[in-house]
Amino acid sequence: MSAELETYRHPSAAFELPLPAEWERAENVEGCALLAVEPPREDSHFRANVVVTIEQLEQGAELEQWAERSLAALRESLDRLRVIDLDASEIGGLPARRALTHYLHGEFGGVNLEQWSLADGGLGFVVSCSTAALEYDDLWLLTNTVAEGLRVRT
Amino acid sequence: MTLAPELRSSGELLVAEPALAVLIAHAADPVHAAIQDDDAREQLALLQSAGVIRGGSSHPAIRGALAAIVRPNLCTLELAYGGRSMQGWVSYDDAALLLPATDGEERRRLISLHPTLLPEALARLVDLGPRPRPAATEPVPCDDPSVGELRRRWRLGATWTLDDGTSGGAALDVLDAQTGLWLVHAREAELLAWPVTPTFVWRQIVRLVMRRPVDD
Repeated sequence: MSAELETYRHPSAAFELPLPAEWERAENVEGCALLAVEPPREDSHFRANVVVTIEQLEQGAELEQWAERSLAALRESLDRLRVIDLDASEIGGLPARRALTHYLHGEFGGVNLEQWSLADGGLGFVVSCSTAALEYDDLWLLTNTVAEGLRVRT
Repeated sequence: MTLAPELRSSGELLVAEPALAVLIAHAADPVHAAIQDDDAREQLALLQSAGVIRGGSSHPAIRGALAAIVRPNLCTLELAYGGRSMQGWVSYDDAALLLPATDGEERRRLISLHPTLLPEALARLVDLGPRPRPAATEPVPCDDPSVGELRRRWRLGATWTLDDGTSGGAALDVLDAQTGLWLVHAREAELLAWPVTPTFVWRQIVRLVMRRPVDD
């Protein structure tokens, strides 16, 4: 799946990232700094989406422990969550953690949720990319490009 | 004496090979399956008394699985793991997994599931999850000490026939070692192990179900 990417800059939060130009966007909704969703198709399907959340981290909080707590919270909230991969990486020169998971969506069945977490200046940024499980490979390059393109503005 | 089929509340069917053969034949052609021979009629009676077939139709819990077995218009799968073998059938709307019998049980487990849940079901069977990263960055011979102690080796194969009649297939051969995951790939006469990640393996499982060749 190819998509033309453009740089998105949040109007009030200090981050930017590349996003498909035609995806719908909403800002500052239900605790999410950004929600970007692929356009609807003709048939009923799970719409791939990117969510960015920002939270104030406790002083001295370690990235590793924070990422583990986030994963534990996912287990509480998602049905039949399976962790497929955990990885340490780097985004924009900052250490990051990546978690690839799969869960059961009540309407659409298998869904992959891939999250990248990084901390900067006392804030924790999480980029969450969700895709229908059978479309994960189609969208892998796009979602990785979006997430790894996150830049925290100073 | 064949053990009677057993439809569990989870929707799984425990079934011996002779009854399964009749059940599939019945799904494809209910009339012919019913009059085939004495053995078939005996198996049919077992299936009916277990509630697997009722009023000429298969139980709703396994109807999708049988539809996929009769018409696997996406692909068929075979997973070899830990000395066992599992078969899978996938259509656009339904999927079926036939799991090997467990120890002390001669019946196999037939599971009906939606195709979107198939990659996760396969991942569960091979215990795909977080692993360390192999230190190697280049392929090594499969018996190279850097691969380390094997936890298991598994192979997932997919075959398919396209609408135009052409057939194809692909396979994923994985070493799950203490050092991490390795993809087995033949180069000339040598079997090489390529260091890979669980994410890579997950992508390849999805690719196989979607009738695409494995990346290497």
